[in-house]
Amino acid sequence: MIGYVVNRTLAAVVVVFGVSSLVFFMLHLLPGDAVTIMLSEFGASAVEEQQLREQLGLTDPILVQYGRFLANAVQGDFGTSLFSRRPVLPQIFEQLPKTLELAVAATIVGVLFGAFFGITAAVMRNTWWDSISMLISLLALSMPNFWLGLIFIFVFSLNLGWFPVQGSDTLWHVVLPAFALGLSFAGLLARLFRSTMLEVLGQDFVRTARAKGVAEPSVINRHALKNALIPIVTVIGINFGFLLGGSVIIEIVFARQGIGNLIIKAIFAHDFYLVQGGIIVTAALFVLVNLIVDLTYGILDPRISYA
Amino acid sequence: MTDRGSDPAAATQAPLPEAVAAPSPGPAAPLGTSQSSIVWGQFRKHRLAMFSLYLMAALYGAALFADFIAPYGEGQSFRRGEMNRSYAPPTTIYWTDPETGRLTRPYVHPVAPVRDAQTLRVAYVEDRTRAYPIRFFVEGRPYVPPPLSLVPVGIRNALGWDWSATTRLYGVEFPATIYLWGADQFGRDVFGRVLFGARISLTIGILASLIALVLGTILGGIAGYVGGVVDDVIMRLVEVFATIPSLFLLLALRALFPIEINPTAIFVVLVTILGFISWGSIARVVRGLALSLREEEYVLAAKALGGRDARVLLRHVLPGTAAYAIVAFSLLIPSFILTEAGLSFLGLGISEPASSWGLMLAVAQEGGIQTFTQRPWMLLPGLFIFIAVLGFNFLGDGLRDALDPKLRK
Repeated sequence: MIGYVVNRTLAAVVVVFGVSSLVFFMLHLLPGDAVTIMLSEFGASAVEEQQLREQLGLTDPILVQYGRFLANAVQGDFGTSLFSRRPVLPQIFEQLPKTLELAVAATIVGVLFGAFFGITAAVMRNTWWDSISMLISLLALSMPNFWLGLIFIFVFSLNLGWFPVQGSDTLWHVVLPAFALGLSFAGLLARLFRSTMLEVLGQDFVRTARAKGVAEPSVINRHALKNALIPIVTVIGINFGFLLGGSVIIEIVFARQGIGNLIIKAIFAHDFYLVQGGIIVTAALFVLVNLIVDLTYGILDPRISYA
Repeated sequence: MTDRGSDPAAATQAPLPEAVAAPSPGPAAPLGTSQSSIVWGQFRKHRLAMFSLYLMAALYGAALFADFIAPYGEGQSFRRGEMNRSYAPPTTIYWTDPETGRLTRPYVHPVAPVRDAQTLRVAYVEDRTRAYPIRFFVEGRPYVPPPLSLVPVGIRNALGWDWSATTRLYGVEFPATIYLWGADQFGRDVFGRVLFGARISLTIGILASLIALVLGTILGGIAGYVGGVVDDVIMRLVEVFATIPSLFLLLALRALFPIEINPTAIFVVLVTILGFISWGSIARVVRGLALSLREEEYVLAAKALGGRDARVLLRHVLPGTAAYAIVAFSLLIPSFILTEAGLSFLGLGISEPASSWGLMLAVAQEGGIQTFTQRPWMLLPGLFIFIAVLGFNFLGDGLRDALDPKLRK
């Protein structure tokens, strides 16, 4: 078990390292370089451009820059924002709770609706309810979440006045964004829930339970459902990235604070270090969530051995 | 796929990509049904997929003939003085004669902008004394007619092809204006711009998916067929790409280009980036199949006969993976449409004066979200994103069912 934990943790560290390197090289090797773009919009002279390059250490060979980037990153230094002149990492961590709040709320919405439609569809397989729930889940999946967000604002905030229009101050503010983001997630989960549930229902122990004369509700609730719920954790982990990506746009629609909002503003301000840091932290967060999922999986399902 | 092992010749002679990309019922073939007609026969049984096929065909047709269908040009705006139509609501079309009350040919009243002295808001007041009938096949702004409009401008100019057409499906005479779905901030026709926007929104997904398909098939094929270190390197790369939520990867790459960038350039940039970051899912599928296919007897036979690796891979291994690669491909398209719309909505994708559905939605929020209850028609482009994504999802579902031999009856 301990060997497994160590292995998975090391693998996660390697992936985070890979992601950081990928982001670094993408931002440094591609033709459009930070300084050129930054200065082309401010109209600086060639001398000033050169000065800024030297100041930022961009004149060094790429591998030297890479080494310096890694050495700093390990110590938690992702550079200083070109715009606010503050270190990047604290700025990101300030915004993190709001994004996590949204992601968690959207996950709850997604799991509740996804489980309901997916499981009932599987239990009533090949009935009209099965078709309807799968149609609803595909509709939810195809809905652009920012459009849904705009419609929610239109109907529930502006016309009915039930919810605050924008912002992220209170927990009340998270309801509409969570639904806008979570409903498409629910569509995704409903389809997955249905297939896992169908798989479990086809297994021998379910047949045995039925053969013993266990009542159908009990077969579903006590035998099938428990086993079908195990993969849900993995599914949530894998799709956490989906929620993080979606939260960027939702944060803009609802003018919420968060990492997405921070990164978008950084892109418009050509704040490269902030963009770089924001993306690496997001990816690391995603890896971390999946690591936790992998590790808890064994606790939830004792059949899995870590030999 | 069923005859993969027993009849390799058929699989190589009739490569699946073509068969699936252009399914045609053709003449009935009672003796020995071809792979493509089996797939088409299966596909036709999927009612939602068939409905989506017609729907998407209609959308693409409307996009192609947008200049003809729309009453005004893509950038034609009405924003000055008496002709100011900024955020003008959908034009009311009248069908009955006000005096006799009988049905008459449809007509509209011209509107005039009136600014409210207190709220400073512009309202549009109809002038009931004048009526302008809606005319069909009217003369409008000149445009380049399809199929010539599919040829890039540079090539058209070089060859001196400068034909233009002026006929538009419907229109009204000035100073009356006709906006079926209202006007945007510059007094441009939302209906027309939805059609023009379809051109970008509906092609970007397909082009990007094609890049991902080619990259994913080749890299996945090599990984599975060659194996060893090559396999490890390629698959680790896929894993790293999959670790960064794709929108963030896209944002990082987008940050390398200036914010203000001309629409054609950003179109190319978006297609390339989307394609290059999304080949992983296809590569995974193709690699898995290539791993098993390379052990098949017909592949071993091809090698034993002295076929070079590249030839064996291209002619014998990859065709066998086509069905699954195509399904993965078709499911990428809707996600790309959503991504493009999202980026354009954020102001990082397609930019003015071009139109795309995501960009049009961004305008809905412009000028303060509080005011947008007064112009709900600005939300209409989102409906089209929804329809297009749904249509492609159904098509993908239908394709998957049709290509899966296990589901055949």
